[in-house]
Amino acid sequence: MARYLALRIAQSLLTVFLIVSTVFVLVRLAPGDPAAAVGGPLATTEDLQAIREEMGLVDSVPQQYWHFITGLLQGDLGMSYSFREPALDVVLERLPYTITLAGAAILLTALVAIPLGVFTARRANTGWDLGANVGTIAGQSMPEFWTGIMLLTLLAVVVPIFPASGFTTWSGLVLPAVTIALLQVALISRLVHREMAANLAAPYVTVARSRGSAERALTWRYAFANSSIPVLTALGTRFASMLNGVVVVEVVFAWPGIGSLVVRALETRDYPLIQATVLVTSLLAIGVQLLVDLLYPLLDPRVRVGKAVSR
Amino acid sequence: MTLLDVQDLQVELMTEAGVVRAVDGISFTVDRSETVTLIGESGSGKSTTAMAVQALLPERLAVVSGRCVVDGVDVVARPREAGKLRGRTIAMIPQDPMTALSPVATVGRQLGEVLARSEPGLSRSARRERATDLLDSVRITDPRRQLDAYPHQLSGGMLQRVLIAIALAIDPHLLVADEPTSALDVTVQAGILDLLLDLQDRTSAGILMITHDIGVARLVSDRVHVMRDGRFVESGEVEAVVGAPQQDYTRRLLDAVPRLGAWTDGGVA
Repeated sequence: MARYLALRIAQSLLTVFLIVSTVFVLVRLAPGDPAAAVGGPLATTEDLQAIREEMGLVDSVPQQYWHFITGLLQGDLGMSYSFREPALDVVLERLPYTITLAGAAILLTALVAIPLGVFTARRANTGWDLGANVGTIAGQSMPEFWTGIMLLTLLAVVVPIFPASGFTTWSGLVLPAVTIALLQVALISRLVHREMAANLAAPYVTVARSRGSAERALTWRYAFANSSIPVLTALGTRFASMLNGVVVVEVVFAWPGIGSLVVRALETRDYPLIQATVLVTSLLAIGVQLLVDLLYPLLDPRVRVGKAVSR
Repeated sequence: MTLLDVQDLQVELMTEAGVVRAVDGISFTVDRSETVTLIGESGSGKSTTAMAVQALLPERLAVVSGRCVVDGVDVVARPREAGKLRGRTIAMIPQDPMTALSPVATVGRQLGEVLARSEPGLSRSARRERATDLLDSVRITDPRRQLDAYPHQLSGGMLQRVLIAIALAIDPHLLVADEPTSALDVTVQAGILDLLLDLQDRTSAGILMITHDIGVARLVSDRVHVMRDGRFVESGEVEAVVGAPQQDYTRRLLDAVPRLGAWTDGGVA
């Protein structure tokens, strides 16, 4: 187990290193000049040259990369051009907001999607199932920017129940979380439905029913226990990708998280900030993935290693 | 005493191809300590009959009519009461032991769950003792250790023994054995059948055996019904049917079994 863990962590670190390096090169290949973004439209050629020298952008790309890697190993990701603060600090300051939003959204998703999927699987081919199907297809088809704006208009402008933007009170969390969850519930509940339908039809459920197990036990202890791995995987993957910034929703609701930060960093060609964001979010995403993988053996004895019972 | 009394049982299944009459008016009985076998090829309706007897067919996909009285309760007329019979007077030995237990719970837990219902007074440790005894009674070696095993850690034969132990935990009057050996190795099959018969001697349960295997039918049955397209084409004492089949279909079914020399010369059973 310790060996497995060490191997997985080493793999994860390698993955993060490759991601960060790729992004380092890609942002420099993209058109646009950070010096122009900082200097503004009135800057002269001399001004721009001075800014580039200050940013260390006059060096060759391999030199810049060496500088970046040595800095990275010391925990220094450079100064953000636009914030004039260490890039890492800027990211870490925004991070709790994104974690809060992603956490609320995934919790809401799980709390709605799992019961919904289980319920409709138990009533396959009935009006309930059909209704839920129509609902989830609608949920899947609505883009987040549209749902977000609709919710804003309805519940913050027409009937002002919730704040329209920012995160000053906890009620500000409701609309963005619901916007994200609407789409995720649609996706996850269909997965739960599919898994549950397959497991409810499995022989062990019929056999358990034949020996008098209650339907509630068949649903949860048998079918759901066997559906939990794909469901957990999907929730984990969704959560990890939300940590990378729920860009559209954060912009719509002016949420001070990673997503809106990324947009700003890209607009201003803020290389250090882009690099710091990518580093932090990929570490988080990979960490969540690792955690999910470590949970598998708790849910399914078949993936437990090295604990054989003789035949 | 008649344990199971089936009269003019009909089952229609809703399939994607339309309505199929899987069982078409069959009648038979099973008494205590008696083994009655339904034999036939795939699609003859024998497994559907086994499911109908336990009222396990999905309500929306199957229409059952006729009479099917188990221990005085007509499960066709009162499917709700049939639910109470399951796990009390009827138990099933399933076709494929490898898929018949939940993969994520230990053998002991699944056995304990049945014991908790059948003998609610037992303490946790007493239940474990009882479970150990049950595994021992189906000739599982080192039963205490196997209680903590997960299904994937046991062989098919072992799992079938576990399933028989689970069936025995409720001390059933009627055992429905749906092809209990067809998924097992030939060498293991005899042991399982032997165990079933031995347990029948001890508990005087009636057995409704479903099989496509003439050899199995011959070994365990008191009476057999040869089934084809949802009907019985021939019924009677096992030796009469196997020894002197009256129907062409039964003869062909018998001829389909590959025989060793000794079988045709002198007979084994």
